[in-house]
Amino acid sequence: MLFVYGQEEQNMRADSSRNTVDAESNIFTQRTDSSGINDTLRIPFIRRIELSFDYSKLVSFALPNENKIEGGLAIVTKPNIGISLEFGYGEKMPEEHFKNADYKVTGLYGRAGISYHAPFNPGTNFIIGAKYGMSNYQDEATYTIESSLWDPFVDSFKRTDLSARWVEFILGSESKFKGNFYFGFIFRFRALISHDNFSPFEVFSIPGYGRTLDKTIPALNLYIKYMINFGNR
Amino acid sequence: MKRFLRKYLIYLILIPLVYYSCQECDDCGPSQNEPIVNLKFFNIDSLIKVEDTLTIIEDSLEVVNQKIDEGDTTLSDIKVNLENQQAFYIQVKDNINQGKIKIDEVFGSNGEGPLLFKDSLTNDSLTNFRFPLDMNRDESTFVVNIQDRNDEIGFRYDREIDKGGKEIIIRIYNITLLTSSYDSVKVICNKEICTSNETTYKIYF
Repeated sequence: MLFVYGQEEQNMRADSSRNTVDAESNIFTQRTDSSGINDTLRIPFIRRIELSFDYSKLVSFALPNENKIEGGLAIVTKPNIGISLEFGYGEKMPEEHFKNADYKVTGLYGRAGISYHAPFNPGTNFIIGAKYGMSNYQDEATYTIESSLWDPFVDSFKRTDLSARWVEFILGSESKFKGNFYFGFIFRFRALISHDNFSPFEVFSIPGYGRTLDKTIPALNLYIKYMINFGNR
Repeated sequence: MKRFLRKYLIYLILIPLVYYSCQECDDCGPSQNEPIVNLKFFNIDSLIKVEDTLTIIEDSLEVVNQKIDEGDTTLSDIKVNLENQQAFYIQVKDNINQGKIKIDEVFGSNGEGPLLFKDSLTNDSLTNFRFPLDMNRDESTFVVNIQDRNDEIGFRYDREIDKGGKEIIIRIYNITLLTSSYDSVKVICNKEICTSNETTYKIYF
């Protein structure tokens, strides 16, 4: 029975002179190189740690109405199962939400999930998985209604400590760039579970999720990732 | 490197497309969507005067027609003149019945204004006047100048902040007459609960 996975598996297959033997502990794989000297390849339970940064969100800093930043940390285990955490901050000032108000929604969000990292070929992985997202946010607005005779009506509202929860299913791909750096994308399909909202002035969007108008929403993340590998020779 | 760039070129193109597809709002800013009450003015004093004048003209016409029928050929110019006057006053009477009137000036009770209507700009008469209600208070009183008259009319109401389309607006309900110096005022609303915009006051003076 073979207990080799992913990149290591491909490398081993490429070298026909090498054989792999399962060790009882499932921690060590024995192989013999062309010189006939036994070598030991260690595949520990934690295969690698991944640090990712969503570079597509940097574009938001060039836009007048939003600022976003998002990063993530993942641990990929021996059977290519990844456990990931993502954190981000979102700030949006949509002009179209209320035409006569300066509206702003800000908040922090996090996602935790599990995914399978399927190696496709050397340097390319496919990713499939699911995540649970949470956001803590607030929104505020100052609005003005002009009058043709009287003083204008000016008022504001602020709603703090709002929260939202959602699940998302992810599908992605990443490709090796240089060294341990990878570029990739994740397509997400999000489904909103619950969120704090108000009538008649609804919350425009939830940081980390998107527009509250839609109970399901697609999203795309583009990221750069640094992988710290363990267990390679 | 080239292979990598080829692979991810689509995403490099995709990002700007996604972001630039978000269009900016062209007509954002303070709302002009203020609550109003509709007013119609009927100048009954003038109507009575016009009707009296019409009666005199019609009586005169009857006498002139009778004389012409008897063979008097000198009255044809007077007949034409009377007919023109009759047509003019009938038009004036119709205008008064429709509530067509020209408001000279409207001020708030504390001197706010003047409020300009379309007739103020085009020197034309209107049949319906949209008086804006004070959104900062539960009542509005107006000083209305029509010709040589100087009247006051005020309304009391309940206010509610609401959303109208993409704007935050004030809706006004339960509007009632607070004060009036006119002869009589009649309220018209065909719904069970009327907002101020759906309410019309007919004012007779």
